[in-house]
Amino acid sequence: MAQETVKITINGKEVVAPKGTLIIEAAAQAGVEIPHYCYHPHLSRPAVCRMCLVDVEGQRKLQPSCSTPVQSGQVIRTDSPKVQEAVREVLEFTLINHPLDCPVCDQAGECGLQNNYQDYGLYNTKFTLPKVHKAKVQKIGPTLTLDAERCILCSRCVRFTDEITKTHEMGIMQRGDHAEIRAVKEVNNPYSTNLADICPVGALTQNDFRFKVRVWYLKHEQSICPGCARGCNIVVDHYRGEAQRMRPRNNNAVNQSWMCDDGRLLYKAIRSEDRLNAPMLRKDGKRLAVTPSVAFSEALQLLEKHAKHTATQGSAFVSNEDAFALAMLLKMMQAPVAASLRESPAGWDDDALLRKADRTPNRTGASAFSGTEDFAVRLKNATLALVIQEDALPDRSLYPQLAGVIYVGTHDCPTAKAADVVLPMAMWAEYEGSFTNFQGRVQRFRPVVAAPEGVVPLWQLASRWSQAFGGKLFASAAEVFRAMATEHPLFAKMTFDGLGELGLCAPSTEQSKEAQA
Amino acid sequence: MQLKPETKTKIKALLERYPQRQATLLPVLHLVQEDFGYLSDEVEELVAKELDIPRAAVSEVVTFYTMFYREPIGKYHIMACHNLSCTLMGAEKLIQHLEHRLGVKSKAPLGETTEDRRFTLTRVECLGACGEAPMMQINDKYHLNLTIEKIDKILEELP
Repeated sequence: MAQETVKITINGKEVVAPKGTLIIEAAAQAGVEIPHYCYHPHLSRPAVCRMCLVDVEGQRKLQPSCSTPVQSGQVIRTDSPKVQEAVREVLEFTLINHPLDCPVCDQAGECGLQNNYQDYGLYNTKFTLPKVHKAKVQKIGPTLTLDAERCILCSRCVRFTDEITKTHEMGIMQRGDHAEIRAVKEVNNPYSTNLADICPVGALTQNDFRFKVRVWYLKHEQSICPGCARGCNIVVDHYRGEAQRMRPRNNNAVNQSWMCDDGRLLYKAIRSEDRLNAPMLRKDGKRLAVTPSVAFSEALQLLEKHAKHTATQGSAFVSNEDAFALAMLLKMMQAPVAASLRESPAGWDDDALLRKADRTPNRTGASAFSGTEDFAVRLKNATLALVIQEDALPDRSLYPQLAGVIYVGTHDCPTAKAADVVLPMAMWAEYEGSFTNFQGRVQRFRPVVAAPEGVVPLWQLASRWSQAFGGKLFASAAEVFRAMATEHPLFAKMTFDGLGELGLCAPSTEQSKEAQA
Repeated sequence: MQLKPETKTKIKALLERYPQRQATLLPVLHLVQEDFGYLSDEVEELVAKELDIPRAAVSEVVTFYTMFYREPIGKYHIMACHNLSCTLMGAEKLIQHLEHRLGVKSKAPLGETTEDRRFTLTRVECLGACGEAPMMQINDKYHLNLTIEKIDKILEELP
């Protein structure tokens, strides 16, 4: 059924918007920005901040565009002198008791007050009385710090804890100019850090990121959270080659505007101490660091020698391209397909919001290129084990017939310690690829920081090895994706660039069936 | 700590009178404050549990209204008006006298309490008795056309 639309005029420009759209949303779609604090697309609209006032022809008073739906024939102005004056005065009022401590405020640079003052304020303050002071630097939970003085009472945090997490920690206490945000209990719900994102000012800041980097030094890259099967769309902010924080990016089909606290800290694994940075060989029970080319050919010799008798454990932590290139390698080696994927590490159950009990980012994608037989069963008849990422073979003495173990992974583990050849591989933040989430949505992540010297993604290793068996050498992730799209229906008719910012679902998957219904 | 059984019964009756649970909050808080004298964190939790609404929603209302007390107050709560009419008629002098006599400081929204917990002296805004200014309210009773002598007599005659 086609959606009903209405025609309206915004600043003299005719705009067509679906019926029921709010003016602020219709304006945004038409490229007209309306300043706001309390409005958030995924929260209720109390219209308390009064920054989004617009002039609707025929209405005596200015209307809050965040809670006024469009109506056919409406003539709206967001730039008339009346609106400009109103917005300037609302902003002045909002800032009356604000401490203006921007030089020591960590929000500076991404602050709604600073931005709107530059765009809509630029007045000289008329207020000369002492300001009302409120509680500063309150640690209201393990992840958040609250500075009540900076708060402008937009109530987004109250609505988030009431409507999204339903944990009800936040409230507006007192009244008048003494009104302030307070937490009535420790804010330790698994989505608490979103409060720092939605706070338009420096009142709620994230403990993990506070005072780490001034935000104007940050560069941004779009990515996908590797923390669970949801695949929340994120932005990774980085500075001097290091990821500094992860924050959610809007994707209504996957994570709306949110992500969980655990996901947010996963960037720390990129530079963690147990990260495998250099290839290693095991000689006489000792591990020796070697150059990538030595480790590569050492592994290749093993693969060539044992080709058909190789048991492979794939991983749901690697990208679609990685899993596909690995499958291609095994095919060229005439080895059996990779064993069934291991179960997800335990952690949490599915919750009503985002988190999935499956803490692997790409089970749907990787299982398309894995078999159903258990790795342990495969190992019984194998002479070589190729283990990707998983700690699948911590005790090789159970399989005395094994002549060799190759481990390809990102972090050290018992399996890596027992392996004959250890090849480090790049992590999600270091290369380009795609994950398929639990809905079957194929989503792209992009390189944020450089991988350690000589460390490449699995698809590159696999594709280079497969050359020795007459396989194809892929030049880029896009090229792997192109080959994969022709091979497997999960990626049918998709192209790497076509995935865009929000990803795609294959026609056969449940989500696209739901969307059609 | 528990709510009194008879208070619980009254709350049940109130819940039937309003379309939403949260709407009963004001009358319920008045009831509970009568029982406990003031609304501590613990009492707020009890009310939230009894009404099945978030604790934050209770705290928001309790802190919004000055007539809900977050700390214990004296047996007699003196609310001395210091708004325009009363001030013009000499309220400041009377409040100073009260402060001196009781040995406490008057404040808004809640003043100090004497050590013997007999009096709390609070400054309030207009109570709507400007015709008989200056005035004060002690607990539920208005005292009008005050003078220093009259105040002394009123305080002495309190049981």
